[in-house]
Amino acid sequence: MSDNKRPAHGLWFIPITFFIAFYLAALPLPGRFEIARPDWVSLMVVFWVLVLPERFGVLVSFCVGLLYDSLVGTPLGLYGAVFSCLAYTILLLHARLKMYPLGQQALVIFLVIGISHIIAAWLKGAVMSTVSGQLHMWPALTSAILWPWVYGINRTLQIRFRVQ
Amino acid sequence: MHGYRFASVLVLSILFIFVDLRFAQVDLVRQSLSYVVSPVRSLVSLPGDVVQWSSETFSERNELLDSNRRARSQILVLQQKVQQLSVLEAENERLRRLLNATSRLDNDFITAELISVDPDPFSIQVIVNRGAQEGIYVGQSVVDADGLFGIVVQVDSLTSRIALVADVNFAVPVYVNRNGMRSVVVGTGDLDVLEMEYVTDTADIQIGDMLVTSGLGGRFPAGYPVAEVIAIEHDPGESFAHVRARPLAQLGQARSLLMVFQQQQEPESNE
Repeated sequence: MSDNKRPAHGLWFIPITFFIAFYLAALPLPGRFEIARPDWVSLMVVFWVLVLPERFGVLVSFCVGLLYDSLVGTPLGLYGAVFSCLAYTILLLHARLKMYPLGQQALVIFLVIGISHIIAAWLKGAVMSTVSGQLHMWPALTSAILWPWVYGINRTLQIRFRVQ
Repeated sequence: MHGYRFASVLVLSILFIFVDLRFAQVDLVRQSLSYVVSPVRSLVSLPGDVVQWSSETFSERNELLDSNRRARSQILVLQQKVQQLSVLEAENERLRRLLNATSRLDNDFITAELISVDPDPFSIQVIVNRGAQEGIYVGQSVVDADGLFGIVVQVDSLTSRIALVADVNFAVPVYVNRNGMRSVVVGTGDLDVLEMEYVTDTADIQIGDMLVTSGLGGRFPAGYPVAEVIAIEHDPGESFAHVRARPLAQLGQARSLLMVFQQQQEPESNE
């Protein structure tokens, strides 16, 4: 309880996690694995919205999305919309999602990230011509598989650095 | 409360997308955002740079000597070609003056290094280490040692993004070097294949023909090789032949590129 009265500190940890997530998202992979690259940035958004909904909400996710747009070169605001949708979905599911065991959380995250990829593909198709129209669920699957570890590591560090 | 915030953010981002697609002013926002992201980019290219640096630093003396010798002989060959070229250029100039044609323009260029490839598996774009600070602009053509490489589609302050010739959004006006027949080459999304559009079945085109930018449309500078014809199929059911070409630029491998500045042609057009 006494922790709650203390001024917020340890918030610097959030940008660092996103820096790592952006790094992993931009890292070149061999062609075959590129399709199944876990969506690190979405995972981080989901984690922080789940853990700190009062600090990390739709607006911050939107800003992260803008940065991601400038990283991957999509029209500014495309991933802003996608990540704010993602954050909003997590906020809606928040009360239930926190109660779930990790495996069940991973299942929900598979669905949520899958949906956000559909939205991203749809927006991309609407505003810029892309090479292929087929949808790939691999990133959602690998992200869901990695979720327990992402959650575990981040949660440990978050408690350690008292990010509130 | 989250709902209102979400709705306003959604409207904002859709607004952003449309403004970004229609107007150039957003480029400033994008450039300032790219400052924040640039450490990520440089960190991504760090391992490759380290490997390259160490392979250059610790390579064998013999190898260095060898590559040096090769480079020297290449310089000799190129210099010899340049000698001929200057004669030809002067002759071309004289002949053009005889024909009352405007003289050809030389293009300025700066070199650029490829720093990363787009992580999106469905787009073929690369990022190079030259940006708005060096005067790069959207629509600038990029060539490598062998031919037309791509076009600048987005400029950040320190980097810029290039769509390769093989991009599906890409069409280059070309002519066949052998006989001057004009056509358009479009990308297919495959790095090794371009397609020629609207080539009639009776057109004079052969396998091995070189396609050169014609400069029509004013987007690409004239006279850069683009592709070589590798397959021609005549389908009796269709009015146009199916012509495939292989891009001459090393789309999958090139690291050093030239970014060509097209000179303003206003003073010339008065003549």
